Amino acid sequence: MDRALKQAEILLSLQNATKRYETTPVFEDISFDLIAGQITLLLGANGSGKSTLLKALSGLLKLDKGTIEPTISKEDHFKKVAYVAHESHLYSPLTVKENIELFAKLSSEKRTSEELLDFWGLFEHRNKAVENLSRGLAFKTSLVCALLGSPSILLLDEPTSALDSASLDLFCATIQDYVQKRNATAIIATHDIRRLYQIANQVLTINNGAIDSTTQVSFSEEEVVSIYIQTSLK
Amino acid sequence: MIKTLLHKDLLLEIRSKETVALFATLSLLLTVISAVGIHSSFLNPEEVRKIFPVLIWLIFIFSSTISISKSFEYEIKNNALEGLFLTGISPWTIFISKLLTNIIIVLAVHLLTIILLASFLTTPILESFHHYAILSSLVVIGYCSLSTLLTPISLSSRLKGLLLPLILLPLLFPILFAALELSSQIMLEGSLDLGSLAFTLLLVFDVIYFTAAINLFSFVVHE
Repeated sequence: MDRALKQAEILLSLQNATKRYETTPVFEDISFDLIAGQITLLLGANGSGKSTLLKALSGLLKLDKGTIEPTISKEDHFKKVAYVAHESHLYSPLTVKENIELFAKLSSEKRTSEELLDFWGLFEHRNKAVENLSRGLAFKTSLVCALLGSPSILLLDEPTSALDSASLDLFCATIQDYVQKRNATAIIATHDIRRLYQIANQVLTINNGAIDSTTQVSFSEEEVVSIYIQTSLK
Repeated sequence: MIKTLLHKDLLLEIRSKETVALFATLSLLLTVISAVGIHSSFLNPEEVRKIFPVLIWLIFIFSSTISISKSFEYEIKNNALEGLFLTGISPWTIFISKLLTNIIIVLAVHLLTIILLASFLTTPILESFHHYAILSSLVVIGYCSLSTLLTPISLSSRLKGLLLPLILLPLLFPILFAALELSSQIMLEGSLDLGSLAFTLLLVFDVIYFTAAINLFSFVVHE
């Protein structure tokens, strides 16, 4: 596995990263790689720093120490990254369609808004203002906008919390398909091990500011739970 | 890109009408109060002409500074500004589009306020209106450059929009000083002296504030 990993294409590498809020460390001196074609689950208790880590990987939050490689300009890094956070990153008075069209133009996306709306089951909601959407629909719209312009690194912060069962299946299938077809990578911060273990190739657990990494071709639900518990007990 | 963002900003304003509605309402209220006050004090037309420029710029500063902070409300809500950055567009593109939107809104409401105040006070300004339009455009460019830079700072502070007048007004002093001098000149002499010290001062500070704002905007929004 190690040899295979060395040959694999590293899309993003975090090296010796430290982030503190005032004097309280969120994570200290952590390093890991995100490999092309892999889906990584980021596990950890509430307040363990998962969201902060994803935001730092997106480039929107400055690290106190450490580097994100490859070292490129902020704008080029942003183009490579799709970051879906708790906040939708959408304009609430604009409709679903207007938001998608705006971000499509800015990301030089070639697909039409109709195609995207149709695929994600948003067509019937296209003329609703984002401020009138449910959390699930707002999340889907946010995901559609984030994936515009074919980014190669997907950073998804608790994506399953607002989705219904059918949308969750579509989400898992789409992310898996996207990562494999485009040789991209995804890191998903989640508590929903039961639904997401099936698509994961790497599990990162964050606890007390440190990170542990386990990489396998695939995981069983028991394996992921056991990794999570072992790290939590450290 | 600028065209796309400008369309988005104007669409947001058309949907919410927040900046225009607040700005226009405050301007109208202050115009009516000023007109009533002046009519009750029985000033002669010559005295009214002398205080007209002061009233115009007082109304402008008060109403625009309160309403301009609304222009960034939807960028802050849902962290939409981060969404824009994540598309990889440069901060200066975002700055220019926001600046153009603010200039369009502030200039339109300000020119309407001048017409309204002049008609309430029966002060003839029609012949020199084009001078007012040139002067107002230059003042609004400097004003909007500064306020577009400073509004995200004030909204991210604990004081929210209240911080904006505290940091904006002292910096605006040279521009307002020049605006008062030049508008008094227009009102009393009917012309705008392009070679005057006040006009040079206005141009110099427009260039300084625009250059500073476009260079500092990236730092302000990322930090």
